[in-house]
Amino acid sequence: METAIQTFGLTKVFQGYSETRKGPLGWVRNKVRPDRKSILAVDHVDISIERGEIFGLLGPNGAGKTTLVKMLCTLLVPTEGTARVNGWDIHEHPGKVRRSVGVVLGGERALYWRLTGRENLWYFSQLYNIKTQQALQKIQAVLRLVELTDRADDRVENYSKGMKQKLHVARALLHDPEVLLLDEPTIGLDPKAAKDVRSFVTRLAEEERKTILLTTHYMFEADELSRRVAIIDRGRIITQGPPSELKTSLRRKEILKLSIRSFNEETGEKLASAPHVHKVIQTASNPSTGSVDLKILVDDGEEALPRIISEIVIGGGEILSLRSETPSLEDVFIELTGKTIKEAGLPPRAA
Amino acid sequence: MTSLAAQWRTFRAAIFKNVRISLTYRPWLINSLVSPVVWIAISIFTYVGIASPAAIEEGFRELTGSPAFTGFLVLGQTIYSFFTAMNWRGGMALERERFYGTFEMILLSPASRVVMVLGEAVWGIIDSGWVIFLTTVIASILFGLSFNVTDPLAVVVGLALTFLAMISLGLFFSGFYVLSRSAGPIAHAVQSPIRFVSGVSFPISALPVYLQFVSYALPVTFGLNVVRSSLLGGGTTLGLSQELIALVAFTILFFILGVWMIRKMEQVAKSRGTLHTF
Ligand SMILES: Nc1ncnc2c1ncn2[C@@H]1O[C@H](COP(=O)(O)OP(=O)(O)OP(=O)(O)O)[C@@H](O)[C@H]1O
Ligand SMILES: [Mg+2]
Repeated sequence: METAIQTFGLTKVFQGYSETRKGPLGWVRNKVRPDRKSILAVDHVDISIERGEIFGLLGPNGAGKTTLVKMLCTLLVPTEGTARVNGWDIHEHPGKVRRSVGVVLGGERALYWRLTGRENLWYFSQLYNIKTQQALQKIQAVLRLVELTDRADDRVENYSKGMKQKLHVARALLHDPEVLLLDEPTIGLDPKAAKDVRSFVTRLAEEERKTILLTTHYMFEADELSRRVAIIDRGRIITQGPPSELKTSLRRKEILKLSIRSFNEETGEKLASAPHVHKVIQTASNPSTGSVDLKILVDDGEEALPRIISEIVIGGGEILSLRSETPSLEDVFIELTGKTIKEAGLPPRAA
Repeated sequence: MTSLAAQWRTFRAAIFKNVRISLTYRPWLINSLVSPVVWIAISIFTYVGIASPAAIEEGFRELTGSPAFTGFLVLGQTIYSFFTAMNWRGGMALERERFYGTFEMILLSPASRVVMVLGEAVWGIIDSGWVIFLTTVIASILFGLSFNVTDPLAVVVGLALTFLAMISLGLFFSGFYVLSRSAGPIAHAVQSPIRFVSGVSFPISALPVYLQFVSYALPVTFGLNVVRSSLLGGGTTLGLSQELIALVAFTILFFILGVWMIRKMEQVAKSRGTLHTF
């Protein structure tokens, strides 16, 4: 198998200002413009992605997904380490890397609002040195793929968020890149549009053998699309592998979902130290009913359950519901970080 | 190595984008037409308000060798307008992308950043050129100009080299502005001092000597001399050769500095992570 993307200890530190400002002028500048802390955004990441593979990078806000993608497409210079993209080193051949990758960073602004969708695509096709005839054909084709043909001659300022996102995708495909880096490609899309994007991502990998690195917050999206997944938290890859494998690493484990009224901290601590219990996570609290939702990761439900129930009752709690389920990718994340993906992320680690 | 065809496509694309976008901002035309004429009027009234035309002409003859002071002031504004056009078009070209939010997107492409800016700068000269030409014609009629051309080649070469020097200067500014991360304030701040030391509305010889050193470090000053002399004072290509050579030297110097500055800017922004910010 051929490797399309490989990183070697890829690291990014966003340097605080005070360290680079020296002398009297530096002193003045520190006073005028407040400091920012150094942040270790990506920490010695080693991943390897094969040609034609969809690789999901899953992580909470601020985990370093965007930073990693930007290093791979040469928009950020790594502090340490390097990567090869489509066979080219990002330090030595940034131009070749740029020609090889199609990037979707999303966002509302990264298009010319005063130009039409078609004009935007024309402009970018020229920056990629595509011959006129070929460019015109390609523009038709990508517009059709993302289903924007009808609105192609409207100014982008009149597009909805989803249409802009589709135009981002269309632009990324203009120069027929070998590798696609998609940073949260379905963010802000309605369920139908998100499904469309997911289905053509799959098609691009299957039919055109594009290599796709896709970042997402959504567990199911990573699960559904990717052949392999890496989970990133606070800049570090905490695990990687095929989604099914990550889940079977928890195979002998079970998740108990409970909803409890009058639950207190003390009971929580007792539960956490009970035999067979691995982790206790509070996933929600509902002040109106005075209840909380817990996820308890156990390695043997039958053994653990009587003790769990008695601890709750002794602590004065009332069990409203109790369910057992098999682990999802979300639970893999919980197992590894002790947090749900929604709670995770902040604060970032200082460098 | 990027091919010539690729450079041409980038250049053409930069112009295409600007034509389309500037068509949606046409009301700016009003300011571009009115404000230079008003500035010319202000400087002419500053002179005629305190002295008789004969006395002013005598003074100008002593300082510049030519008595044509209205011509001096009209052309001063013309060339200065080209400078401000270049400051905002070429100079702000990359900063504008940051403002739009498209800066990362263009840097994702393999296209030459220098050629992108050159496209914007050249289009800036053309697009503002006809407006500036129009204001010059209006002012010439309003304030009664008399030209004295003996060598048309000097006029053509003088204007062409002035434009080239300004395009180069724009290239340099474009990298510098993004790197400074305070483009707007600096772009505003450079305008009035340059108006002052380049001798837009009075002969430079009126300045203290140390400021004249600053004047002659700026291409605008040489552009003004060449254009005024060839259009009003019957200057010839040969007679102006030193100034023309200086303009060529400025063009080369700022081009090299500009290429370096744009590279530096990209490198710094990519290591600090400030490309997407505004
Ligand atoms: N240009 C920058 N300057 C300083 N810090 C930055 C910069 N870009 C990102 N960071 C910091 O680096 C960390 C990782 O950010 P990044 O945008 O890569 O996260 P992410 O995983 O993409 O998050 P999200 O899911 O919210 O998009 C965060 O703590 C962020 O504040
Ligand atoms: Mg992100």
